[in-house]
Amino acid sequence: MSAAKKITVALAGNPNSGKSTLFNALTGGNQHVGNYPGVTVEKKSGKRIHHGYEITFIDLPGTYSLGSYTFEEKIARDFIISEKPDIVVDVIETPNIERNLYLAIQILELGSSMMFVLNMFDEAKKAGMNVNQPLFGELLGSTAVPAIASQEKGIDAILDSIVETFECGKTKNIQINYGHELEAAISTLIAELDDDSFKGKYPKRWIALKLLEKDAGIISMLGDKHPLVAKAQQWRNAIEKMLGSDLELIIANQRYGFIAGICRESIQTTEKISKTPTDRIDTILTNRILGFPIFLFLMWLIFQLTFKLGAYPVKWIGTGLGYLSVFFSQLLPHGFISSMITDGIIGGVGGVVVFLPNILLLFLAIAFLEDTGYMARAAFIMDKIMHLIGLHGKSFVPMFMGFGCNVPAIMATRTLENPRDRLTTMLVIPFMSCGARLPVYVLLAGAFFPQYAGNVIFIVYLIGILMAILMALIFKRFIFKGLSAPFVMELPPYRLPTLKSVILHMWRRVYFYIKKAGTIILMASLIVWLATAIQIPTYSNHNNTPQGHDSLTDETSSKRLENSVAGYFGKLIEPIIRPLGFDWKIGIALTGGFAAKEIVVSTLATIYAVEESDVKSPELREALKDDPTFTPLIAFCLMVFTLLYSPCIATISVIYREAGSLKWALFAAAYTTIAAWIVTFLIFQIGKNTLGALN
Amino acid sequence: MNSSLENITLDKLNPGDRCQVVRILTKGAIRQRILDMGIHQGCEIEVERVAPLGDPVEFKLKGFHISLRKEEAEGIIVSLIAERKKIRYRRRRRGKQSPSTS
Repeated sequence: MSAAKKITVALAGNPNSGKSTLFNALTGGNQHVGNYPGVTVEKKSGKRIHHGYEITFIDLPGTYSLGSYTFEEKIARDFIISEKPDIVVDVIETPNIERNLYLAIQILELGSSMMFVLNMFDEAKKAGMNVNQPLFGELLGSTAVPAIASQEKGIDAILDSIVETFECGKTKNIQINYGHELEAAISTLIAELDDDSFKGKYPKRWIALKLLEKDAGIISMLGDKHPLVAKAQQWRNAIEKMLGSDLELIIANQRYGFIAGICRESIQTTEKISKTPTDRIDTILTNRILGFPIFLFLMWLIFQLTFKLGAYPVKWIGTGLGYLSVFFSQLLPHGFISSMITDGIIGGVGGVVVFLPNILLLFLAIAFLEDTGYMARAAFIMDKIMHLIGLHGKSFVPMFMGFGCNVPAIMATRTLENPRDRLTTMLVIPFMSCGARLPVYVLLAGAFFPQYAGNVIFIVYLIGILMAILMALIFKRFIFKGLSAPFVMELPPYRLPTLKSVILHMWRRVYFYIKKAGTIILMASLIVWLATAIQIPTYSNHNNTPQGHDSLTDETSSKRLENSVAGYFGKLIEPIIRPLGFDWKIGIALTGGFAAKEIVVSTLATIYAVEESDVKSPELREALKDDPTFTPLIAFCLMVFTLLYSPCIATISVIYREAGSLKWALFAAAYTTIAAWIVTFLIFQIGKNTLGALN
Repeated sequence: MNSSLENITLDKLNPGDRCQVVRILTKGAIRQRILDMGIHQGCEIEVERVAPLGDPVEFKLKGFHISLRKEEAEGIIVSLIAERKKIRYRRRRRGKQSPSTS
């Protein structure tokens, strides 16, 4: 039995063309998700056996063009050029065929062997479009297969066509006539292109065109000083002067002209319905008056779904892990190993798994919103406000979700196409006060501001929002300056996604989280646990005996914490945090908070030797209030510091994975802590002096 | 009021207006994006609606919808083909002569 013939197929197409749905239908469950080398863009590949052929599909990022401007374009283009797939299948959103062909042409010019899938064929029919498929395919030098990917219709025809195209060799080479002047320039450049530096990788005509377009990718490859670059520039200047327009515009016009010609010949359009269902829905959803409230309501709904509903499974997981913990602590003799397994490993795993229900639910909601097309409307509605602070309309949803939990919120920034917008959003999300910080506020506000607890907590949230806005503006101004990212965004027609695609969409995120972030969080939690467990033989040089129970175990665990690495660290940083009104006890609590912000509460409980570390526990409140060094001002400062300082390890880990570099993750931890220090310093010093003056 | 000869920038149009692109003055990444998304010299655009907060604006062209910020639409020069029908009606009521009756 001879080995199966292998075919590599790259799937290209516009965003919203149903490319991913087609990919899922073609590959079934056999998918592998990785990353393109060096970047955080997903690379999906899958296999399918058809009539004895082993077909490998690569789902390229959705792009509108193959220039050098966006990340996705570069990746798609580089893949086609360097990996040289046997066939490039262009998935076309048929109702939108003219614009989709803009990309198709550029792939053709790369010399790839192509095939076209006329997806969403049913929608096109309903809109009154009648495509003469054979003629259409012929005009583009290839074959066109109609399909409805969401209903898995046309799949076999596509597979047959792939095999046929593969066996019958290269498709006819279609060339666009760019007009007299440009063609002259192209011919001259081609003639001088016997340079072998490309080793036949690219068609000469394509190189000539790119040179004239001043394509950044090609120029960096040839080098600025290359004689052809200068030659192309001369031609550019001459043509632009002659035709009175920039070259990019001339080329685009020629392309669209060519496209219009093809469509005129092969497509018949009968009378279109004036108001599509999408138009009617949008009249309400993006309505001048109703649009905003509806949007806010939907946000609230998702928030409730994710965090209120998600609270149940989170609780179950917590209880389950608690049982597991108890089981092990009873099984093993009391000591280091036992503690390592129960507090360290189980605690660490718990720290990863505890986010799963929220991530699952949030991404289910987001996948649904994205696949239906509502996300684009959300960005459309919010962009005015977001743009004022230097962000993109799409930044709103992730930031809003940060109020529940920063971890899934940062993962949600994937919807932002522009890397700068995405990074800025990721960096300010930590200031959205997450659910883990709330216990700290409830404890402190309850103890020190019993009358005004609610208002005080609200002010803290507000400070977070203001800081986020401030930092967004600062980042745009100083770090990411000069790059004004386009908002230009498509508003796709509303489509009901299949359950399968929504779940797949969600599952990919969950998988990413478990595999990539989970491992780091676990490791980091273990390290933090070690820091609180390993004892340093040092004597306590403070006479503050924490008040509380007399029970021996409490004093021992308090002393144990004090003498641990974490405790040592807390005392070490005391001089740094004293200007904020904090002492070493708070220092230890904050160090613990680095693992997870709610640990600030339990650490305080341990230090003050209070057994019940429940946030509403009266003993803990009393213990704090009785400590003379803990004043309402200091309590407020601690709340603000907890709000602002470094996000928890889980968040840092996700930033690392989503931003793709350790540098930004550490930067996030560092700048937030510095900001926390500065703001708390100001509040404490001003507060101290004002209150002092008042007395 | 011979509006079809007037050239105006895209950001100044109102929902319901239809126009044709005359020139694109924008440069850089934004222009590239605009071209990639299907806006080019000679294409017809209809203004669909404005976002609740006043910006961005939704446009309809060639079978799809696109949204641009007003500052991005500023660089696109268009010639008006048809205005919102409401305005014409109002003008007629005020007694002004509309082009078709002059």
